[in-house]
Amino acid sequence: MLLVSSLTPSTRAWALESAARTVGNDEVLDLDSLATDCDDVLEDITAALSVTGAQFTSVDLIAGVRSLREVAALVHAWEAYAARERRALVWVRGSVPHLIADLLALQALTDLAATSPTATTLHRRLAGVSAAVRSGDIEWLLGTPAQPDAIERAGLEVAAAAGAKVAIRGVLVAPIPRKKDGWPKDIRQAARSAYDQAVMDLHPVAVARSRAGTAPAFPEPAVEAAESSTIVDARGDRVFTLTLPGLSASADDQTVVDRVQVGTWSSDPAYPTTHVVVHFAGHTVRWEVDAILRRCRAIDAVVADDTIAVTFVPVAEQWPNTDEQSEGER
Amino acid sequence: MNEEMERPPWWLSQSGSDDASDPTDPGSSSTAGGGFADMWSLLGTFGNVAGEWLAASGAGEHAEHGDPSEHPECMVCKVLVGVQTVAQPSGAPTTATPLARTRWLSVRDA
Repeated sequence: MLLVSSLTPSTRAWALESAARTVGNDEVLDLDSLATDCDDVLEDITAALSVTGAQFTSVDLIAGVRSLREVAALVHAWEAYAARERRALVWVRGSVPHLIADLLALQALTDLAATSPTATTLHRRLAGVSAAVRSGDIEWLLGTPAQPDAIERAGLEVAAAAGAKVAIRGVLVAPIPRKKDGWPKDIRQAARSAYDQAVMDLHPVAVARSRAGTAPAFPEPAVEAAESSTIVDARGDRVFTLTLPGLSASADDQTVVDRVQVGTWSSDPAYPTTHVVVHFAGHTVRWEVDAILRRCRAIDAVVADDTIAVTFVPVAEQWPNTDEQSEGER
Repeated sequence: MNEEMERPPWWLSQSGSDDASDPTDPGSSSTAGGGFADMWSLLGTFGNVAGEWLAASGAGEHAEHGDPSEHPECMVCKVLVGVQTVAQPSGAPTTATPLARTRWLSVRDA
């Protein structure tokens, strides 16, 4: 199944054309249409809560309900369509990285409640979709206008998707402004430069642009875009690195170190650390660390372009003696 | 930096609210059914609750309520508690441990 989204409405047609060429199927399923039965409920909720005077709370609730609806629609799309049509095209109006992040977060929550029968059923269904995401059975194609700020934003979306281990089939850039259409030279050059930069910055994610009124296909299967490693340095500290293509993209003057937050998190109270968390541009990536780092605590984070490096030191209480520490490292 | 505000913060996907899924209240929402039936029935409950709540003229009082679990008489608080307990059905044995908060690090340039 190929999820298709676009940063702007004007790029939708190009993205869908490219997606249709990519999978050889031009029948598009709209994710929103799968949950239309609930639209009236959502409208009721929105109308009701918008008059409370508690705007912050109502926004939380509405965003939450919308997200639940989209996650449910994605599960439905996977179970009802993709199982029999592997080339299914699904149009997603919103952000695919956000959608997948919500799917994974909801799955994590059902982990916590897995002893109840209803949560077990829900967890199984969510796990089926997230497994399809991880295996590449669900891929994503993103369309963006040929405009520098938009391409930068596309880079951040790619970084978030890579952090969620989404298989990114490609980034389609809409036609670059042409001289014969009256576009000024500086705009044309800026668009071309942004495209060329994206091709390099987003590697190994495929980036292609529409030419001569035709959107290209992305024939190659998606590759795993994010890379992680854990090494032990000369001082004995453990250094975790994570590279997310597009992370350093910025549509403003801020440097990457000013825009990226790095932290650690634990989903298991028995260990100090189970995940490294990277927050940027409204996206949150939770990356599960190697077993050797679970009994360690992070002390430092460094950001360089698309790569973050987090230094860990062992937590003494978690390593009762040297022998066990050595054993844990094996 | 205040990027948390760029997207409406939601307890499911925002790191700043990791502890929001803390299942401290058994909840009052209906969770009958299985799998996604839970969510849809929850949405249905929202609709009913919204109607009831509109009928009750005291809705504006919710603006002064801090912790939703402390105001079971407030329809809005009931809805919020329902959202927070979607993964912890009413009556189900509570095995969950409150999620830890993200421990943020100081980030420096290479």
